[in-house]
Amino acid sequence: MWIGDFYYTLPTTLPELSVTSVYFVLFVLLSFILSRIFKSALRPYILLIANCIFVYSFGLTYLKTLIIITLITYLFGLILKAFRSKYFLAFSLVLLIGTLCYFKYAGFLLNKSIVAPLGLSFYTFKAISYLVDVYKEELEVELNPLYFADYLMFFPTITAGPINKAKNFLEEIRIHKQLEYKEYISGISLILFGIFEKMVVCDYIGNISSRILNNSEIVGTTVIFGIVLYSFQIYLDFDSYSNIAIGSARLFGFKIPKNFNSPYLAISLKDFWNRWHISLSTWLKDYIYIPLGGNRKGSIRKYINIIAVFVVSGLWHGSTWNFLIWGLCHGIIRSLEDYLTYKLRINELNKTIRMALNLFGVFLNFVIVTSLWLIFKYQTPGEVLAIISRCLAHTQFSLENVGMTIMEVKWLWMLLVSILIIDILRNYFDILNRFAQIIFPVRWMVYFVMVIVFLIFGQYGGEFDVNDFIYRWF
Amino acid sequence: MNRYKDIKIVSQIFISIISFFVIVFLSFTFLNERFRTKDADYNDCFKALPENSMDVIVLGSSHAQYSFLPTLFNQQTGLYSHILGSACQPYEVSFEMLKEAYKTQNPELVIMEIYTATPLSAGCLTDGCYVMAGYQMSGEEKYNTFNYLDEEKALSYRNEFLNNHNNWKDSLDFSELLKKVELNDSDIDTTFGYRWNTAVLPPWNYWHPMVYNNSEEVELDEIDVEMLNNIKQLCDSKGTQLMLYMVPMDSIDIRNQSYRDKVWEWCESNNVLYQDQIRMAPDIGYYMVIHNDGAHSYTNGASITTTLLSGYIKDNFTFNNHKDNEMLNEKYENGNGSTMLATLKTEYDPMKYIKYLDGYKGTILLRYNNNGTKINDKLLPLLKNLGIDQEFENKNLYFALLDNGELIYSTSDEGEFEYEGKLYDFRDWGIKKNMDVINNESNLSLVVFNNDKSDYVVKNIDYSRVWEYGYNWYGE
Repeated sequence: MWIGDFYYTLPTTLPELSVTSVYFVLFVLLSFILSRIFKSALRPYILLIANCIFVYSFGLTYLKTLIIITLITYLFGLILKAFRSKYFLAFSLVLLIGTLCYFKYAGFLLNKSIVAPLGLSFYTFKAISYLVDVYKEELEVELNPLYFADYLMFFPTITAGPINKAKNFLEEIRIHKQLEYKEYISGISLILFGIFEKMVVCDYIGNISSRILNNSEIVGTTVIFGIVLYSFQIYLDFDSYSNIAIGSARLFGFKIPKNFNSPYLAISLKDFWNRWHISLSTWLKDYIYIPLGGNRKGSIRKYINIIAVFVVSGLWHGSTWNFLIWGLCHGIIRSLEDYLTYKLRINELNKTIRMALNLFGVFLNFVIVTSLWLIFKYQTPGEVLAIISRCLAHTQFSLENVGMTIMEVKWLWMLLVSILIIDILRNYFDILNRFAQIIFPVRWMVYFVMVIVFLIFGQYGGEFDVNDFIYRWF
Repeated sequence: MNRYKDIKIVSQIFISIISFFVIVFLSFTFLNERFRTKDADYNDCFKALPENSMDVIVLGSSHAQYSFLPTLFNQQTGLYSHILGSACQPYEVSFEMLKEAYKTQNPELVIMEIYTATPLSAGCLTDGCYVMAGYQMSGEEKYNTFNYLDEEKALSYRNEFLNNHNNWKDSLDFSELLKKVELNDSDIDTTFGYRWNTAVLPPWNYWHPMVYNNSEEVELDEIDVEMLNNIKQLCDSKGTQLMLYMVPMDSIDIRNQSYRDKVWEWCESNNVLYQDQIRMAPDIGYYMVIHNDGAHSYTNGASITTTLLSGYIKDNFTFNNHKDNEMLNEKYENGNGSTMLATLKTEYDPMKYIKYLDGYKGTILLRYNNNGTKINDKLLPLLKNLGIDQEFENKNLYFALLDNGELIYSTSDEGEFEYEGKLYDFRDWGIKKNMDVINNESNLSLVVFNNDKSDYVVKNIDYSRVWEYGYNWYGE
């Protein structure tokens, strides 16, 4: 290879800072170094410039919308502090939710093509939580527009979350915290791990899943296997993004709570939603479920509230009917699960039976969640029924029919076993934090192996494009 | 103090980032070498050639690859040649290829096929030539070539690993992944850049490529003229002779012919010799359909065009630096067997078929079963030339084994014969080799083996009547 190759990788125009691109990594590193080279008071300015460049790389319109929403939210924050009027709050929420609904649902309802601005669902929810918290006086209004803009426009989380709350972020930005080398290591490790997870594991599993599900001639258990792979794909896809976002935030001195906690080891749907997209679940609980009355107004009302929360969750994910049905199904099953747990007095059973039930619960929950991903994936009932009918056909399990080579099959099983082991370990401790504490030579050996594995098995290059993050468009 | 600590940490971070990128760079370089595609047809064969061994380098598009037979050329001229060509290869790629060739070779003649100067080639835009160039080139030439592509493609082709890393799927085991690809003699492709093209159906109709008397006013693309000048200059600076040629092909209309003529104009004004094989097609008996699939020459067509070039080159160019190379001689010898087999596969005319076999150095089996019919008179002298001097009329059965032009074994009775470790079983209904039936049709059959007997071709000849298609008799 020629050293000149690197010259040719330089773009002639501002490239889209897609999170899995080399440009994104370089952009994060450059912003990070700049924010640390200059004195700490300048950091918020550098961060704001980085935020704007990041969004601008996807399109000027996206940046304009984001700036307008940021200004509106900032101003309403000041108004709410001055007047603390529920009418102003309601007006501001209608404005924000109206904008979100317009971009998300007008296209569907009016049968027009309207492209939602990048990350709109995520930063609108952040804006809502900010205004509600200010109104409820749970949060001090942010007077410094720079700090506030940095919060709402924070580029690592803008495209797909996590939906971090303002309180911690604003506290951290005010104190100009000094960087610790260990924090840098853990941040950079999270970014690298996220990229690895996305481009080596997730996209490969996704490609195999697509090969199975898109080939109507493949039927039987192989299709079920394809659905299971899709289930892993969507998890790894979102988890990898969250890791990159949390890692990037850590470099800038912000601690953003984790978004996933081994969700497929959940013993129930309730448990699952405490482990899956935690920032959204928490947001829905704090700003919809509790304001609706939560479980304080009797069981019937509680179940209605649960279903309402999940319907909102479904609609938040997308404007088509399948998302509404997906949310509704989750709400109904979640309510049913709650009802049965209470009726069967499961919590009062002895420890051994509860353990056995938990194990069964992990399996059952995975089956339910994975089955419901079908509604999430396919927009029409016809497509879902077609997949189900293919599952029901009786044929032998065969990955050769998918056109996989011996090595591909070996690699796929290795990946699946690794995911399982890592998830079980993650259930008990923070692997990456531990990793950051490992002695230097061992850590670098791990980097080296990961680089080699990434270069060989990564899903990049002329043959295919890296799949976009599934959650980027929600 | 805090500021100092910050700077210290930033320095640490800076070093760690640089270290990481060094690891990525070195790993990439290491893997780039190991994941090179080892396609024996083309990719490595030029690089594996002994240094300064080639007398002639042929440049051009797929038309060069399909129309020039280095092994036959070697038979006819004693010279070594290699084709550096690829699908739709533009002149700029040919120029870079030539520069690449000079890194290891010092040819005395460069022959360039000119198809891509004609507008007809615009229909075949393909990345193939760049991929091929990538495999055959290195360093600056490789990068210059890819500069003609858009950036994204260029990036992926410059670094073969970006395209090839996915080949891990084809390995049998993880341990194989990091094995280094070593070039050696066995990587020299015995076709020396030639591409097989064997017809599968007998032609029903045939014609010479079209030639027009009138012409259009056209101008060659600036880049083509620039590259022709560059190639000429480069050849002159290296003391290499240059020749241009156009292979016979169809679909050349007046406009395309005019472009071709423009190239010849350039040749004349630059004292470069050229051969327009389209215009010569009627004289050399080159027919579309019989010798050409509409785009490329079949191997029998390549045999005609190569013979034409051989004669012209012998008459017009001098070669003073040819050095005999034992290994190459062996490769050309092996290549001859394969070339012959490919030529035979494309030849439907039994007369020509037997003529091709005249002097063939491999093994040939013959089976004759009279079955009440009379052999055609025109065949007898041809078979006699082959070494089979028989009055077939008086025989019911006849079997023969020829090797290297000599009759090794012949018999009028059914039976077995062992030769060079192979057992041949001759029967009235067919022939078996080591228990495998290799022929069981027709009354007169010829089985021709390549040099290592790994491949063979069978010709069943209905000798009793004039052949079904008129074309069998052309040129007779």
